[in-house]
Amino acid sequence: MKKKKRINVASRLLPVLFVFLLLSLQIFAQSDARKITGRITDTKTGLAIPGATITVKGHNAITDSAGKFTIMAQTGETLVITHVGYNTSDIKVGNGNTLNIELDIRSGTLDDIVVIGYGKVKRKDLTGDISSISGNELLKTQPTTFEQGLQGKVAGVIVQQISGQPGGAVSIQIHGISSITGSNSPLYVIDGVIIPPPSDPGDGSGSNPLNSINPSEIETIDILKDASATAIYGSQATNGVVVITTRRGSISAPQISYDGYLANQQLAKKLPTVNLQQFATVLNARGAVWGFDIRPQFANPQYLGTGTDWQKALFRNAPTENNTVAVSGGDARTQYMFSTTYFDQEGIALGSDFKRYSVRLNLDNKTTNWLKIGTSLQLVHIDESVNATASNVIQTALSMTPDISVKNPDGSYGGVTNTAGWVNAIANPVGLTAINTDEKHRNQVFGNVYAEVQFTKDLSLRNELSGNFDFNTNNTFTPAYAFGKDVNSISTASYSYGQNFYTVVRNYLTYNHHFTNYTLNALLGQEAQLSTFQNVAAGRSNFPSNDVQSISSGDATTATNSGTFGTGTAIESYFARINFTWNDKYLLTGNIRRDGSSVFPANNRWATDYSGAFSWRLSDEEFLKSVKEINELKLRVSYGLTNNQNIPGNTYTAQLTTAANGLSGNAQYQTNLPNPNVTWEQTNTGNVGLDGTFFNWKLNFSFNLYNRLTNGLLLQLPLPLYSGTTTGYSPGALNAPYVNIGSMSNKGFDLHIGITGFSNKTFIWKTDFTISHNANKVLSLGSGGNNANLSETSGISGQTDVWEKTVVGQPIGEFYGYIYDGIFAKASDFRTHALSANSAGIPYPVQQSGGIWYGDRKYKDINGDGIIDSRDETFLGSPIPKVQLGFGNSITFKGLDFYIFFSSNIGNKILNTLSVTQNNPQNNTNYFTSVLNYANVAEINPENGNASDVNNYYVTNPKTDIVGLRNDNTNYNTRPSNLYIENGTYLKCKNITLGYTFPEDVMKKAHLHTLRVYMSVVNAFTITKYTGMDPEIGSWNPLQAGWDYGYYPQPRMMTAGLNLKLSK
Amino acid sequence: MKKIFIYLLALSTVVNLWSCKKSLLDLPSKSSYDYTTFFSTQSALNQAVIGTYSTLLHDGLWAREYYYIFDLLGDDAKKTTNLGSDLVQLGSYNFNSSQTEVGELWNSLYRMIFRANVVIDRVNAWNPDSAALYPQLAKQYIAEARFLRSYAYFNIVNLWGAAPLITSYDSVVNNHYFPRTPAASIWAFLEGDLSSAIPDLPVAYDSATDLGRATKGAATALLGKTYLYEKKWNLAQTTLAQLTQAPFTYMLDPSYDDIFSPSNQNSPENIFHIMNAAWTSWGIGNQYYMFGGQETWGGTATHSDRAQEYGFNDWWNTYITTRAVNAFHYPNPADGVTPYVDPRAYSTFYGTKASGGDTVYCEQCAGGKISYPFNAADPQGDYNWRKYEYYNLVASFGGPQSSIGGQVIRYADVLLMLAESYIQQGDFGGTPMGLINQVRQRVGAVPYTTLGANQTSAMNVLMLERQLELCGEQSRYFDLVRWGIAQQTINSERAVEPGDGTQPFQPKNVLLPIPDVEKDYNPLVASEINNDWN
Repeated sequence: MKKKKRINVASRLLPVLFVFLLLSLQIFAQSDARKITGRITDTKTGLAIPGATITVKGHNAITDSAGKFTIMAQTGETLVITHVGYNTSDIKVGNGNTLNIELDIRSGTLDDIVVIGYGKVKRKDLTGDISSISGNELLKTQPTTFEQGLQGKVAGVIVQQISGQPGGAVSIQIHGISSITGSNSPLYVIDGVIIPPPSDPGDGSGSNPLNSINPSEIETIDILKDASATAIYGSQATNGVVVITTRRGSISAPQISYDGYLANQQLAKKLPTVNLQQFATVLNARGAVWGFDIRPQFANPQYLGTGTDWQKALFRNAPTENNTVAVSGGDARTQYMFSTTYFDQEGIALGSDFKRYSVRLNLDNKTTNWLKIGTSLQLVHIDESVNATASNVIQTALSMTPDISVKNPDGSYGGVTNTAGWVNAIANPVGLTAINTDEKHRNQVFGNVYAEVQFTKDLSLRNELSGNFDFNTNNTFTPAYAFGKDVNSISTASYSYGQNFYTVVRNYLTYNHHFTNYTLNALLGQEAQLSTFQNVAAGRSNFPSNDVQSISSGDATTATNSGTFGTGTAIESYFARINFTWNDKYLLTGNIRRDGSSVFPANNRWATDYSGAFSWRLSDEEFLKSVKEINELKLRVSYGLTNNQNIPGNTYTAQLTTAANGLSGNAQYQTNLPNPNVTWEQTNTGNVGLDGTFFNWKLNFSFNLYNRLTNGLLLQLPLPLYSGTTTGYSPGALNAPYVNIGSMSNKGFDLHIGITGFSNKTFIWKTDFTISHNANKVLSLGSGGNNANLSETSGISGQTDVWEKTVVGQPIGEFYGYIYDGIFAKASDFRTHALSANSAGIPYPVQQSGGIWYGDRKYKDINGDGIIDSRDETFLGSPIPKVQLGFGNSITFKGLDFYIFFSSNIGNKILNTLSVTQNNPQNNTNYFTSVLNYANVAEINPENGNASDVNNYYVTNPKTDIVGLRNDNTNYNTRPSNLYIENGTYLKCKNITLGYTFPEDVMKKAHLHTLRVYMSVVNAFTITKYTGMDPEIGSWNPLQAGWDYGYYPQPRMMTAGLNLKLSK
Repeated sequence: MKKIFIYLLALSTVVNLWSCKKSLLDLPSKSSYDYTTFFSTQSALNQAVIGTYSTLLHDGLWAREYYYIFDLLGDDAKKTTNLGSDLVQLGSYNFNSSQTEVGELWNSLYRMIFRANVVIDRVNAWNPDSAALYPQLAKQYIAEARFLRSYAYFNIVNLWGAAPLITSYDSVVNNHYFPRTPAASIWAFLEGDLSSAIPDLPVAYDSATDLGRATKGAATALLGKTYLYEKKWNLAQTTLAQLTQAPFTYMLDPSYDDIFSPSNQNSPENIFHIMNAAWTSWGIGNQYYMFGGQETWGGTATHSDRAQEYGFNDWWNTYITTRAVNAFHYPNPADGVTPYVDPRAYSTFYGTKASGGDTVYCEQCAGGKISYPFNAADPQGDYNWRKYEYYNLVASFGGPQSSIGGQVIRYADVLLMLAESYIQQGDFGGTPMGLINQVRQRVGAVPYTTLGANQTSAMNVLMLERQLELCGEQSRYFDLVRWGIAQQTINSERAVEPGDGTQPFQPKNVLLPIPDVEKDYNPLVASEINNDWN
């Protein structure tokens, strides 16, 4: 009932408002305009400013090379003069016909326009916590996708690449993690179109819808962080909002530009796998202990070569190219921006590439003096090959032994033919990339159309209709093959088609008025969103040959198909905002938004988000005005409540499954236990910020301190009575209900400092520094408590173990296991150190076979009970960085520009699963060279000693952490321990760029406007103790973050490119 | 001015169109049926009822584990070296609350209750347009659900005593954790459920389509059994006696072997039994569905793997115990002195001629019959199961695919329970003796001429008769526990069992441990468990 009433009120209210406001409409009378001429110059230098735009109602003009212009205007009208890099100037037309206007170079950022939800403000009027970066800034790191470019640039935002695969996604966490089951991804809004965050790609092969945006088309990115900034976007914005504004045309002559680069990528770090000699040495030594015959060909390892380097075989130097041509311009009525792109990136691992073709048109038209319409429209086509990730070839290449050749002399792919010495037959990774197919193709259309009605100077109405339509296919083919003893006898193929439609209608009124001492800005709006998806998939196996791969050519009796009409979500919203500024000193913002979501049952469908913020421009107070060193100082305080709704639809009602049944017909049973009371997750956010600019705009900083508390955390409550999931396979298991239990807090701070270290006419040096810190803590998991089934297990060590746990009092998803305490190296170790015990608590015997022996690992007896069992496990650190840093320097000297940028993660842990297998001499695939340092057990008295006497042995290299060669794992040496949980701290030189802009006079002769050429290195070097390929490991799932399974590393990329603008 | 008006008019129309769609926020799933809307037809409700029956074939229940658990606990069966380690724990009584099969049994019984509650909830909400057509069916569906729910609670209250009592779908949706309810309340609930189910159940179903569903007789028999277990002897007697009269037409199957044969689903003796059907091909489902594939691996397979799992020429996981074999040897009832071998020995196990067991198999095979290869050197005593096997038809099954339905309650059981109810009321004369002899005469066993001089001797006769008649039918463990002689009987039997010699039954074993699957997640139950057991 409540909801119904609300709709009625709103729909009745709007027309009433319109009528009321119409009464105050002014009718613009046309009268005599006359010709005004003038010249525009730089205040400081006095030099002419060519290319500046002068607009007055209905007319516009551009200054010529002498800074001169002519325009039609009448007395009392205002000329607005704009030019890039200068403050905008408003000049009232007096009685004269000539005007000489001086423009100030824009210093500081106070007049920068910042996008807030459904509107824009000048930075000086901002009350919320919003960081902005410009498209130019973004492009400095040459990101494949725009999110990659955000790393280290925005304070308070932790950005980590999830996969180095071309087009691969990154995870972005703004002010921490607020949800366990829901998404922690921010809301992405591109020209008003909401783009769904990347779906969990699991192995990294999932599609990233954000990679369809060409970074070079981006004008600015604004990141809304605190509740006062995000609440206007409502329930989808709990984790912050990333607002992307693409370039639009301006009033100018046509500007044609070309941006392009060519790049070469390479593997930045190779892992130390053993070569053939070393492999033979290990295998021989192992064979001697295990008691099998060594391979005759390994008898003399010193005569062997180095064998196959599988990393060298799999990774390649891969080219990338990017070409963008853009045309923009416009007159007073119509402005346009048209851009077309071709981007092609080969992956450094065989079997991966990414191509993007896109066309964008941004159009604005002032149709009448009260109506403006426009559109942003982008068409994209993407081709991706994700075979490398899907076939897991990086891990395979690290596991493949060096005695195997990539190809046999007859041209076929090599494989393990000799498994003597207990070596497993695994697939040839190079062969897999060559013969497997895993391609994704995507066509995406997104765009919006808008109409803006200007009722009065102060009051306008904007109507928007936007959509994102995504059509995608995925086809896979695994042929029958035989790589030595690794045989796949059945070929399989699958093909799937999916489409995701998202549409939104939004209408809002904006009122903006300057009173004598204060300014009032108000917003009132309504929005409706609908998102749906559908897919269909088919598969067959047993293809008669590998030549024809279409589904129909497979064995018809193996055909499978499936399809769903996704439930989707619908959201209806009403929102309002008031910004109130008094004397330019005290700024107040209030937001309220009411969202109704289809995800929740009718009784809990509606939620209210609200926030308030207060800003105080201290620098405008009398007592600071006189302090010359302070240009601006602003204190911000905000508080708000946002609601999160990220759970699947329909969990409030029970869904059924039809099962064939032999009893007497079909059975119908429930697949989930509904929670009819499921409701919104609520996040309270408090934020205190201080912004300042000092020393003649040379130093600016922005500091934020925040505290986010999420209550009513949505979790699937594990219930035993019916779910049965705890006993393995279970028939008719029910999905546990989503229940609002638990709470979690995120506290942190972030700081951005910008310094113009030095500047004069020819030399400018700027430094930017960001630091972000967040501490996450689970406060409660409701009645499920620590048994809430949030442990992450893995079988990487040979048994199913818990490696990561989420419990009350700790941060989400901490690593968990034993603490390594050296190896058993001397006889006294067995007496003085606790031994691991069986489930009954009885220690294993000290013996070579079926017991604990020299070269086994010792673990810390944390509870001091004299045995090692699961009670000695403890928390081993969090995969979430404690601090992320960004540090950039740019130097301009005459035409030369130089840029260097570092990013750094500090204090996170990584689970290196490769070291579990590859550092273990008991493993039956390839090894890292560290295995050569296995614990070497020797007899103290080889001649006369008793071979069964424990006291007759010792380990010759007691400092090693590699276990001995014994064929016995009673001690379970590969158990989860801090040996595999590595320090993930790193410092990466993300980018070094050197560019040169040709002087203007040279350009003029060449009939060009500007030309800049540059060279850069991306991911130039990384300083880290982490032993895997790349310490930057993002994750979608906060419960299972920081797992390196043979992660696709980010390449080092060498680039040469140019930016070209043709004048006129 | 006018233009703006037109614009606004058009706009407000659009806005109104959009927001007038009140249904916008109701997005029912297009991928699966919804609980609230699906059950609006007779056939849909029937599918929910069938979904409840299908839990009978889930893990822990009659798909596989049920007969292992109670044959091993009740000392009818013992392990061979082939038996899996989980099940070995049951036989040696050294399990704890993490025991896998016990946990599965608990889960599946509560799943059966859950689905029964769904049926009752939805039928009550059902508002058919043609209500007049189906009132009887609506009542029947509820009654069937009540029967199955009672079957589950009967097991729960006997095996665990106090346990969560969940009586409606709604309560499980609104209540996440249920405390233990005293056993007496569960017994009372059971009585009520069965009493209200009986009038609404048909005496028989269409044998072509609905065989295996709960009948009026099944509910009556379970109610009688309930009274008997509660020691409400008179109520047990009057309830069970109804089954011997019209409208019921139950009779003992002339052939004892037929009750455990592939054609046993049409036996006139069946009161409630599990509708196992032969596995014919992978097209009907996975041959190994009983290892957890029920409803998750697809298909309509409902076969039993008991024949293969117990069969001496197949997986051979269990022997029949020599104590059970020995029970078939007792003094001839005619004189009370002469050694006598009960004829049911032949039908129950393979062994030596002296043991009374069958000594040949493959009687109906093309190649002719084969001698059972009794291994006299086997220290375990090489007696193996014949009941529920079909080695008369084939030498080896070659796969788990038996169509022999599981007997839950059959008429002979009812007659013996009825006899017991008389004896317990002090009548150990002709009436109970007649009932016992009725069961004996079907197999040609010598009838009793007296049940002895007192109630105790009559009960001894009755107890032996139940042991023999229902050997390998998961009755023994329940009987021993309710008679209060489980510890003494099992320990004394195990003490002399070849290859055993243990006395494993401890006082706590009269109840099963509350499984970890419950206590780890239900704090209210966990707080009421003593000594990590029950």
